[in-house]
Amino acid sequence: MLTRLRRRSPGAIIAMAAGVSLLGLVPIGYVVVTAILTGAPTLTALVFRARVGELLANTAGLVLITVPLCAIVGVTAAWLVERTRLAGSRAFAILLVVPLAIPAFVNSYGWVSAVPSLNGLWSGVLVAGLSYFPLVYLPTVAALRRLDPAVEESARSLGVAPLGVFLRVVLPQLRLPIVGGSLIIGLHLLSEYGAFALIRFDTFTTAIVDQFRSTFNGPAANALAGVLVLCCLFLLVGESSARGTARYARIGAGSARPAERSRLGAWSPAAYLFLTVLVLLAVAVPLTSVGRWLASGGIAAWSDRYLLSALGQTVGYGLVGAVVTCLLAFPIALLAVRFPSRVARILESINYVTSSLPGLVTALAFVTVAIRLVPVLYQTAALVIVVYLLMFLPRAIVNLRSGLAQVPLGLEEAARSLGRAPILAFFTVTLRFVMPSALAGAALVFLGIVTELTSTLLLAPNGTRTLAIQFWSRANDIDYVGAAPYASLMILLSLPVTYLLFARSRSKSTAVNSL
Amino acid sequence: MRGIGKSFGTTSVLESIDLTVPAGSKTVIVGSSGSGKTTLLRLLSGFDLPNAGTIRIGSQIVAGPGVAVPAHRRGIGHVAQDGALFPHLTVGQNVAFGLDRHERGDRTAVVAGLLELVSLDPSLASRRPDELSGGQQQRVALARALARKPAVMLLDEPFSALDTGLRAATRELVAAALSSAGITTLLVTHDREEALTFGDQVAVLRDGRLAQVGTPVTLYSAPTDLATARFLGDVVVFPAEASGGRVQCALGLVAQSSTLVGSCVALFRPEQLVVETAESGTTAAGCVARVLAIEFQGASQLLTLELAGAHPIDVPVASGATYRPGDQVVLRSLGDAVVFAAG
Repeated sequence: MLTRLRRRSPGAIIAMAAGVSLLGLVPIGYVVVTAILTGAPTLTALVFRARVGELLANTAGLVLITVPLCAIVGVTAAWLVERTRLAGSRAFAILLVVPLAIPAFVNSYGWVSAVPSLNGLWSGVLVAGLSYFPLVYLPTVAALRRLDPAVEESARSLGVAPLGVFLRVVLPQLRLPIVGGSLIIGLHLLSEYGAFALIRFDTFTTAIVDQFRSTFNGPAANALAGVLVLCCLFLLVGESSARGTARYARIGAGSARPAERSRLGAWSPAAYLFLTVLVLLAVAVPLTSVGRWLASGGIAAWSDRYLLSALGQTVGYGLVGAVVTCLLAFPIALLAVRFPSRVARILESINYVTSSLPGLVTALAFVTVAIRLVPVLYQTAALVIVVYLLMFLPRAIVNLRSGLAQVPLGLEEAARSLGRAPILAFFTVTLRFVMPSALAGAALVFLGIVTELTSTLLLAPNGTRTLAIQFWSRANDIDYVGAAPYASLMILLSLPVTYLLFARSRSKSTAVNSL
Repeated sequence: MRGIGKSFGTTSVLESIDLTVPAGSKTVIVGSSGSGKTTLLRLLSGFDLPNAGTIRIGSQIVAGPGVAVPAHRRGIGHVAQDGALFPHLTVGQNVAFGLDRHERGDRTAVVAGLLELVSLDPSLASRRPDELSGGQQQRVALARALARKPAVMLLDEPFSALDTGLRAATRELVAAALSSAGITTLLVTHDREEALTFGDQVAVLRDGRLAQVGTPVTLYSAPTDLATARFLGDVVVFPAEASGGRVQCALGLVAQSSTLVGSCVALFRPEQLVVETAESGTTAAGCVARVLAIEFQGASQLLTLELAGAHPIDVPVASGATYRPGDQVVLRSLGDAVVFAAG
C-alpha cells in the first residue's frame, strides 16, 4: 500500500488537501487585503480611537482574568476528582463536563434571566469561566490518568512532601493540557458573541457584530476584525512559546497502575464545598433557569410553529457539515500520517490557524468574497457549510489522524497478500479501523455546528431558522419563555457528544483537546 | 521486619514476613511474579502500609501499630522497575531533585560526581531522560536515589528491562557503587541468576511467605524444599530410600546429610552428575544409563539419559565427546544429595 500510494496517489491527495487549505487562507487573506485597500490613514483613524482602546481593555481584561481562573479551577477540580478519595468523585467527574453541553450563550441566558442585574467585565468572567473551565478540566483529567505513578513515588522516596510532589512533579507534567486548554479558552473568549451580548459586555466580537448589523460591511467592522485577528495570533504565539520544546513522553513501558488517591482528612469539607459550588454555578443555575422558563411556558411554548423546522434545519446543517468536514479532512489526515513531509505539515497547520480565528471573521471574509467575486454563493447554505468546515476542520483532522496512526500498516499488507488490490485493501481494512475515530470527529463537528451562533447569524440565507438563531432572537428580545424550548433542544443534542468526550478522557486514547 | 502482613481487600498478598537485613549488606528478595515481592518493597518504601507487623530501620520503627512514617521522611532510596525518571526534567535536574537547598550551590559538581559513581558520562546531565538507553536511565535513577545518601536502598527489578549483555554489566556496576557507599540494599527480582550473584543474603518469597532465607550458596546447595530448589536452578530428582547419612536411588548409594529415614526424594544439581563412557568407567560407583537423545548447545551438549527405575533425565556435558543415541554410559554423582520427604 505504502509504495503504491507513494507512486500513485499523493498527487491527488495533495491536491485535495491543498484545495481545502487554500480555502482556509481566505479569512487571513481577506483581513490583509481589506487592510491594504482601506489604506493606512483610514486604518489608523479606525484603529487608534478611544472605542477600540475600550474594547481592547475589555477583551484583554476578560482573557487575562478568565483564563488563569479557568486553569486553576479546572486543575483543582481534576485533581480532586482523579486523585483524592472523596466519596462521589465519579459523579462529580461527570457533572463537571456537563457545562460543555450548555452553549455559552445559553449559560449566559440562564444566568441573566436569573440575575437580571448582571453586566460588565466581572459578569463576563463569571459566565464565560463557568462555561469554559471544562476545557482545562477535561484534558487535565486525561493527563492525570496517564501519568506514571511510579514517577511521583520516586519523588516521595527522594524526600519530597506531598505538596512538593504536586508542585514539582505533577504540575509540570500537566503543562501541555493546561496550556492547550487555556489557549482554547482564550480563543473562545475572543470569538464568543452571544454570551457577552446578553449581559451587555462589549468585546471586539460583540462590537464587530453590532457594527456589521448597522453598516453591513463597513471598513470599521473590517478594521476591528483585523485587531481581533491580531489578538488571536498573539494567543497562538503565546501558547506555542509557553508549551516550550519539552517532551513529556512517558519513559519506559512500566505498567500503568492507577495512581494512589490521597486522603483529604480535614480538607474534605472544603473540597466538597468547592466542587458542589462549582457544579451548582456551572450546571444547576443554567439548567434550573431553562427548566423554570420551560415550566412557566408550559405546553404552549412547545407549540412554537418554528420549533420543528428549526430542529430539522439544525440537524440538517449539523449532519451535512459533519460529513463534508470529515470527508475533506481525510486527505489532510492521510497525508500527515502516511506521507509526512513539510508540505503536509504546512497544509495541516493552515487549518489549525484558520479554525482558531473567530468564526465571525471567517464569516465576514466569505460574505465579502461572495458578494464581490461569486454573488451566486451569497446567501446560500453552501457558504454556511464552507464556513463551518473551516471552523471545525481540526476536530475531524485530529481524530482521523489518531485513528489512521493506530491502524497497523501490516494489516493492509496482509490483506494485499491475501489477494486484495491496494485500493480495496485500504477500503476494507484501514477504513474499517478508522471509522470509530471518524465518527468521533464527526460528532464533535456536529456539536460545534449545533451550538454555533455568531457566524450563522451573519451568513445564513434569509429564512434560516436554526435552534441557535431562534433561541437568540427570542432571548435577545427578553422572551425568556420562548427561548427555553430551543435552549433545551440544543442541550439535549449536545449531551451525547459531551458524554463521548467524558468517556474519552478516561480512556487511554488521545485527542481529547479538540474543541 | 517482623510479622509483616498485607492484604488488598480480601486477597492476602503477604503473610507473617520476618526478615532482618544486616546494615551495609545486600539482600535479594526473589520470587516469581505475583509472589508479593513488589508489594513488600512498597511497604518498605512507605508507598503502602502493612496491615500487620512492624518495620524497623535501625532503631526507628517506620511502620507498625499506630506508626506510619510517610515515604518522604523515611530516608529510603527507591529505584523503580523502569527508573521512573521525571520526564519533564533533564538528567542533571533528575539527579539533583532530592538534594537539599544548601547542597544545590555546587550542584553541577555534585551531579557530575554522582553520574561518575554510576559510570555515566557527566556530559549526559543536559540530556532528556528519553534520549537515554534503558540501562542509562536505570543508572540515572540510581544516581538520583544515591544523591540523598540513603541508609537503605530498595531496587525493584531494576535490571529486568535490560537486554542480557547489558544486564550483567549494569548489575555489577550498581553492586559496586552500592558497596562502596556502604548502603544497605534490598533488591527484588524474579531472575535466579540475579538472585544468586547480587546479594550476601537471599530470601525466597513464595505465595506471600518467605520460604527460605540464607546465603546464596546455602540456598543453592541446601534448599529446604523442592520448590525453592527448582526455583533457584535446574534439578535432577530421583525417588529414593534414605537411611542414616545415605540415600539409595537410581545412582546407587549416595551420601546425604539429613536425618531423614525412609522413602524420600533425592535431588542433585545437573552439574553434580558426571557422565563417563561405559568402557573407560570403573563400575565402583554410579549406574549404567542409555543415551536417548542429544541436543547440541554450543559449549555444552544436553544428553537425555534413560536409567533403570527412573524417568529419563537431562544432563549437560561438555561438547567434544561424541555420543550417539543408544550409547551406554556410566552416570556418577559428585557430592551429597539433598533429600526431601517424599510427597
